[in-house]
Amino acid sequence: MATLPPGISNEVFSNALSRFEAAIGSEWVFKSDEDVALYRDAYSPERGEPTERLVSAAVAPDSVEQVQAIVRIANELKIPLYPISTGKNLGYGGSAPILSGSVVVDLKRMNKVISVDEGRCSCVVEPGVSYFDLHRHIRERDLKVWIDCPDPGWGSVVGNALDHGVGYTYGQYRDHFGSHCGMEVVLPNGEVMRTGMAALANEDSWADYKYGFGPYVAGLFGQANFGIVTKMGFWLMPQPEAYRTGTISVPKRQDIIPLVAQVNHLENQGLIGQPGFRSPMSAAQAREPELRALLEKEGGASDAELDRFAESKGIPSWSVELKFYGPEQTIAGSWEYAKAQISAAVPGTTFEDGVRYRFPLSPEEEAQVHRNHRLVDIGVPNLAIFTIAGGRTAQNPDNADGGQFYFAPIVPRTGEALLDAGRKMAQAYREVGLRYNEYYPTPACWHYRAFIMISSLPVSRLDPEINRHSREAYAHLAQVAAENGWGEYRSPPFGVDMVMDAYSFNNHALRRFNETLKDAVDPNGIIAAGRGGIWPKYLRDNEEDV
Amino acid sequence: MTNRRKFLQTSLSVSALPFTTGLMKPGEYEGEAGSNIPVKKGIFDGRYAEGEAFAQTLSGFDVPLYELSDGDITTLWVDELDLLWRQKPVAIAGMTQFGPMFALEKLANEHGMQMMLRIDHQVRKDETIAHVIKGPVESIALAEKLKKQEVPWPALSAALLTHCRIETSRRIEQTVVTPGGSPAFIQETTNDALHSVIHYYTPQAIQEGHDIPWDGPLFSWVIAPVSKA
Repeated sequence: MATLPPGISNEVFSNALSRFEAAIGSEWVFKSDEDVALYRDAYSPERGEPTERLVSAAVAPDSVEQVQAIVRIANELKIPLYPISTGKNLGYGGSAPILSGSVVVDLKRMNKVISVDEGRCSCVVEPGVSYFDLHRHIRERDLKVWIDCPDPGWGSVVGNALDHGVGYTYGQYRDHFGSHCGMEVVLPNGEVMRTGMAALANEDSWADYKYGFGPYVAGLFGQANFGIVTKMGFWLMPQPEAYRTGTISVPKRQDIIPLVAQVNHLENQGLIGQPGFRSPMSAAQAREPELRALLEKEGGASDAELDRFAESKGIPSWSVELKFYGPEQTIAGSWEYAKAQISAAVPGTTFEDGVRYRFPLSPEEEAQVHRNHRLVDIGVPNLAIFTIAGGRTAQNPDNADGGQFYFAPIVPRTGEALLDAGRKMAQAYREVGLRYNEYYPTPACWHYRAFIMISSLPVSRLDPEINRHSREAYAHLAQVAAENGWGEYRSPPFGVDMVMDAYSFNNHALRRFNETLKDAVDPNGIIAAGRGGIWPKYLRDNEEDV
Repeated sequence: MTNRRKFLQTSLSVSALPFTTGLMKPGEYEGEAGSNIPVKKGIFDGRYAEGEAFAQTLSGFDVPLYELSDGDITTLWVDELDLLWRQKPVAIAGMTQFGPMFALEKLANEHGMQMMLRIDHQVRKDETIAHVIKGPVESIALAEKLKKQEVPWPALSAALLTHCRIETSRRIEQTVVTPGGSPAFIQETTNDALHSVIHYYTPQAIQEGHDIPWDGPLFSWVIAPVSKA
């Protein structure tokens, strides 16, 4: 039996489904239990519980006109909609809505690559285009541009960007929303609007210049619910002449402070791609029982003790892999510059050259690279992450169904903040019975110029206790993050309000502003209720329906 | 690390395959002609001895094989299935860890295909394996028959996957228990690049400094177009 939208009767819902069928064809309205079940969040930490967010039905339009028709019907009958692109946002909700009972608008059939401009390094795509699709389109035409993709690469280029998703290559390209340029949106009243240069009658500059004229409203459609995006432009990275990597290692625990400062300076100058921070000392825990004992001893380990151990074993405390993209001569010089700067700042620094490629790769080179290299760093989508989706861990030893969701706060981009976050996060994790890498925490630098301290919490389809514990842990961690001024950059559905609560400056002025806009633009609250922590008025007034 | 071929020869006898013992003749359990899902590709994880044994049985049923490299489905998807399914959705089957099964199922859903038969091979402490079978009632009956004949479970699974009814009166879930220990993870993951990609997603074990959890439970499955009858 369908999970009805809150406040909607069977009769009204049936009428809505009939009208959706008339608008887009009955074969594209999914209402059977079997079809609707496909839209469950595969990684839901609320699976099987009363709070699990379930779909009432799904519709799959294939054109902007059909999206408009769906939106107009929904607006008239006050049916909540939840747009998804490919529905692969695993760990952050997947294909399920935030408001249970919503009708999913599945945009997968709108999958055209509208244009790719090699000279201007840009593209315009529909929401159903996956990273694999765009990559294949570019390769088939031998265009000298790269995509920047997350892993796995099966997600939507549009959908990932709209959730502020991230990638791996150079500079602003890995900020997927930041690298978008112009969009087309179906508004809650069914009108079509375009932003930036796409709003001009002649759309030739759609993917050149972001801002157009006047307020930059495009931001309202990222992690938000002011419309359904039906096209987006993106800046693409030109295929570089060459790519190389190099790893820099530093000996002592406190060396992270000058190391981060130097790497930030390299990134701020635009000389490197995504820094890949690691800790060999952290990895050594797996094979060094003496180190584990040191880290777990009562009262904690001192820097002196840890540094002594590291020195005795010849294990660096930290390392960072630097990636360089561009002309071969230029990046060779940048690597030499990086080595000189960092070795001057951190005594005992060591260096190791990594891979070096020139593009385009020959078929033989490509086969070799694809076997041995991290493909995302060179803009090649893959599914390698699923090689461990199902591995046993201490927290999920059966892991018969895999899955996790993410706690992803952003901390200030300094070494001091990293060490401080490690200490405080470890305490917070201990309080919920979990472990954390207290002494050598490393950030993910997916977003340009940001440190994301991401960790995962396990999800189980077999053991609801694991899910309950993970949810409680998340709530506690989100609270600690808020107290320390670390805001999450994305959130699983059940956490949207907790995360938005942290952005509380001036009595939550940001959320109040969002709600004011929401009430004006979407008075019936039909688009993606709850997205970005923004709830429509009728649900704010009746919190028990949420 | 033990020699893989030697391990297979000593631990999983080829002669135990159901079709070689006369338990099942090719074409047996067809029911009416064409009533079984025609599996066009059999996917297996060669890092497990049981995966190799499963593949041997599949090949005996004339199913083209695909061995995953380090459990990674990328090449299978990019070079074969993405192109194939755009033309026409066709059924695939496999014995893999959860991740490949999950990812292929999600990709198949986009082409109107669904999981038709799934077997969770749950290792128990008493040297038995509980095979939780979700699928056509006919598959359960076949599993019970082959279990009585003491067919090793990898071959049993292959037989079930290649004899999964297109249409069934009932889909049920039932557990069939066979002898068996924890699947033998006999080949280390060779792709160094995987280590650093996966690091970003730091399962708790990695955060604690333990090794990447390469080993995991195995699943057997059939993904096929949904019958429109």
